Amino acid sequence: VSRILVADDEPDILRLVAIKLGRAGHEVLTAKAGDEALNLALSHRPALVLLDVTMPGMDGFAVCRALKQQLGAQAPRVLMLSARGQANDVQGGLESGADGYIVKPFAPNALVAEVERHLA
Amino acid sequence: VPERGSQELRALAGAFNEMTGSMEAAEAERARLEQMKTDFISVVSHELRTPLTSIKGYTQMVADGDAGELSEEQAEYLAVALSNTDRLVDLVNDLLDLSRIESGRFELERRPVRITEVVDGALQVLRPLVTAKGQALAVDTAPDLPVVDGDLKRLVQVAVNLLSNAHKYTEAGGKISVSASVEQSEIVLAVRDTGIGIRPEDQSHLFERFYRVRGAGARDVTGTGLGLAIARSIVELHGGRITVQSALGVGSRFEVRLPVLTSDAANTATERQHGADPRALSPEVSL
Repeated sequence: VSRILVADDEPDILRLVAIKLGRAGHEVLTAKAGDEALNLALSHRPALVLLDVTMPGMDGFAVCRALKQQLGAQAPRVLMLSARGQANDVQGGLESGADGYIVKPFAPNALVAEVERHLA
Repeated sequence: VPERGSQELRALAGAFNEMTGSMEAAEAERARLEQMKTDFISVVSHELRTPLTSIKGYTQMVADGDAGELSEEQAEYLAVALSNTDRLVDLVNDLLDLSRIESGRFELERRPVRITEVVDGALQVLRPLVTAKGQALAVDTAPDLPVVDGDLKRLVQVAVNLLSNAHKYTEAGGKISVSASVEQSEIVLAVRDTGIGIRPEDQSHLFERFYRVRGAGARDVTGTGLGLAIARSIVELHGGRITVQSALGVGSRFEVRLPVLTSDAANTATERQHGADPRALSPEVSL
């Protein structure tokens, strides 16, 4: 069982990911915006964070950069979750320090498998 | 042009300057419209993917039995919904690729690529479908083939497209062969099938966008009509060529020729690679 934070401004997608990860036995925290995600990650210290890229206010890249900078070696694993999958988008994700990049739409079971691969 | 000299000359120079000015304005307007078109397709693709994520995700959860056990009939109907969702996702991806190609913003992430990686990547996707349809699959890749300077993901996309066409346009029990060899300074990747074949008048249009072959045998086949147009663009961006040979009722053979990476170019490619983020090789998970 790992604590996982999911951030997405689309409530339906947020719920989808939370249901799948919850069923897989993980403790799931959710956030609907970037600043909320950053605060939750700093206060609850999840093992892994799934971040939507396009969110109002602070976007997923900014949250990832802030987490990796503020927590250094203690920072959680970060996976970006985005509807933009072009090479430059993926590059932007990796430059912000993300550990992986998942393109929407995804198969729910494959998402869980990818999360668990990064937790292992 | 300076507007001076006789009155006639001044008028002529004036008219010339005015024409040049309006041509520049027209060119700027054309570029602006082109940019708008590209931005539009990019925004629409993103806006379509977000609802598609929920449609695919929730339907898949129900189909997986996450919300309770399903009857055989319910499972069958959900499978139809899911396969059509995937069709829509493919169309969105193809439209986005096409808009990037047309606006010259299609980027290749090149590194030395072995053609066997390309074949393996494509077979991973297609082998289950080919087996399920009862088609025979023969793979013949020569050992120790030289590498090409290519974008693995995009070359796999080309091979998947060719194999998927061979699979779709070949009857159950037919045969599909994939081969890779080297000829002079080119890698030759060929996909051959014993399918319905393509009429000569269709062959010349096959690589045009939205061109779909009509007629017996092609009726039930789904596709966007963009796959081969995109495949050709990807191959040409790699400095290669794609061609087809086909006979109606006998089968088709698609051939991709890619220039071999020479040792000088290989050094440059390796240096470039060392500077890149190692995770960038396969960071993107396509689920």
